[in-house]
Amino acid sequence: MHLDKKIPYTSKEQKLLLQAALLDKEHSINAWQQWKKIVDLEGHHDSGSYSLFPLLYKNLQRYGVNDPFMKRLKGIYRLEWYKNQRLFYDMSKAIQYLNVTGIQVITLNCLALIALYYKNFAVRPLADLGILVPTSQALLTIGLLKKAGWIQTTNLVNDSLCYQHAIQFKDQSGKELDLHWHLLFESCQEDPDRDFWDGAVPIKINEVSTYALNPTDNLLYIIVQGVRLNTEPPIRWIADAMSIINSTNSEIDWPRLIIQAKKSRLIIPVKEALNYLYENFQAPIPKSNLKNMNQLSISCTESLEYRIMTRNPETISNTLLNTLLGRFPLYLVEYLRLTNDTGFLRKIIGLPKYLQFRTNAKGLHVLCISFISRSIITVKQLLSRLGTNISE
Amino acid sequence: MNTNSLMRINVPKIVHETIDGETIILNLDIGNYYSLVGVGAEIWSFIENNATIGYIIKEISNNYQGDREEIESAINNFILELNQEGIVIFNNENSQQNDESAHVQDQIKLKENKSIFEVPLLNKYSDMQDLLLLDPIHDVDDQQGWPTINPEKSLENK
Repeated sequence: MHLDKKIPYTSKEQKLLLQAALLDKEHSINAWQQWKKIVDLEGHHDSGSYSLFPLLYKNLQRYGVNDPFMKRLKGIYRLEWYKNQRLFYDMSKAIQYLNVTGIQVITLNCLALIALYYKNFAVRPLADLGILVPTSQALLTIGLLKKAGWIQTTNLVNDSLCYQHAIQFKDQSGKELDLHWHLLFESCQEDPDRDFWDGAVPIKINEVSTYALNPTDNLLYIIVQGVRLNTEPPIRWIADAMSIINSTNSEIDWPRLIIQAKKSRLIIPVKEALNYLYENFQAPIPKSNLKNMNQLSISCTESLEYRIMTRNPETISNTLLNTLLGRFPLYLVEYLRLTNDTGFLRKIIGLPKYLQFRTNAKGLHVLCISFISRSIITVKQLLSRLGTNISE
Repeated sequence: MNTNSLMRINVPKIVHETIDGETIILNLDIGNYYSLVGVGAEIWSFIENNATIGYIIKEISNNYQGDREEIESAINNFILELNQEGIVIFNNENSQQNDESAHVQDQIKLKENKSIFEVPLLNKYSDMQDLLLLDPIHDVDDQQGWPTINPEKSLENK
């Protein structure tokens, strides 16, 4: 997990857009007017903002907003409805296939959000199919998916499930499938996974029976997924989280959320996310629960991890230590999380292979060469600085 | 086609939604996309509520100004087209119920002022590959939105 920035990710424009898409009439229309003033409607819109347009349309239409841009927003709503309906239909077949072969499946991501919370096929663009299977069935599932024509697009390190929580597939038409055997990258252990499976709720996707995370676990998952660095601005998590909270507020087990956040050492991002939703989007989170969350003590381990994970590698100050180590601290933190249940000796033995996987190095020798060249650069920088100091 | 015929939407392969007076329909098997507005959308709401053809004709005639026979003919043709596209299926049995039962009346709002009847149209879009590639902000008609192409853009392409 690498966080490019701390929460919130939103720019001023994106925040206004979210408010227009999510809030009550007065605040929504106000935000919409402000957004229009600062955004060129005819210009380019980032993909995160675009993905909110159908939800924006639905909200504004509900409030009777009459604006020239609404026609095109309605067109986007139609388009996403069309695309989503087709994807939903195709993806439900993949779930059905796994059901028939005896694989237990928890449906993740967009499909579950649409089926349970949004209950609307246009407002939440479907990106991919995400499924969680028991770790014991992961390798079997991989084989079955390949047999069904899905192409594996990420490798398994050492053909082992230890160092990863999921891999990706694509089908012939380009549809993507995320296969998880652990729900969270940050928590690849049996214990939290068991909690998620025990708490799963039955749902139907296009008459196909499957399971989804319960609202509390889904909220945790959305927050943790959303605050990770993504190729597109990860602002959808805000709308997703709000859809869960708004539609099932009475069902959110806030103490359970706190327990799960503690177990996975994710108190900081969950706390920051909930405060952000409460302060900016009127999230109906009981004040007592927020207070409990804010009063939780953070372990030194989690604090250190969070500081490492939220460093932007492009803006890291050019210290000698950073030159020497690069992203090693981040990879080490990731690795320690992944191998939390592993003995010390096995951790040490497995680390080089993990570093190879993360750096795409073709062999251990490449890692060694990289470290040697970093050391040389570091020494040169050190000598250069010493020389500068002496001449001063 | 019997005016007492029961018909239903051809689920699960047909999905639909009505938003802001427009009904959008998709045939999941073939990928054809359809749009209904005005009288067409109103007829759809009757079909959704399991009204018979006879009831639909009666209610539309009450709600709109126009020649009754023309209205009946237009509605019959429209429903036949829905059937031919696989959107609506006729049941073999006839309705034994009195369509004027309370639950049907409650669900359908009757108009106070009569508009002029316009022939209901089923707008069909089958060439979806190209339409899916359109930029829904810049390539479309700004008064209609997707899937209506911006006429200036289509002239450019010619």
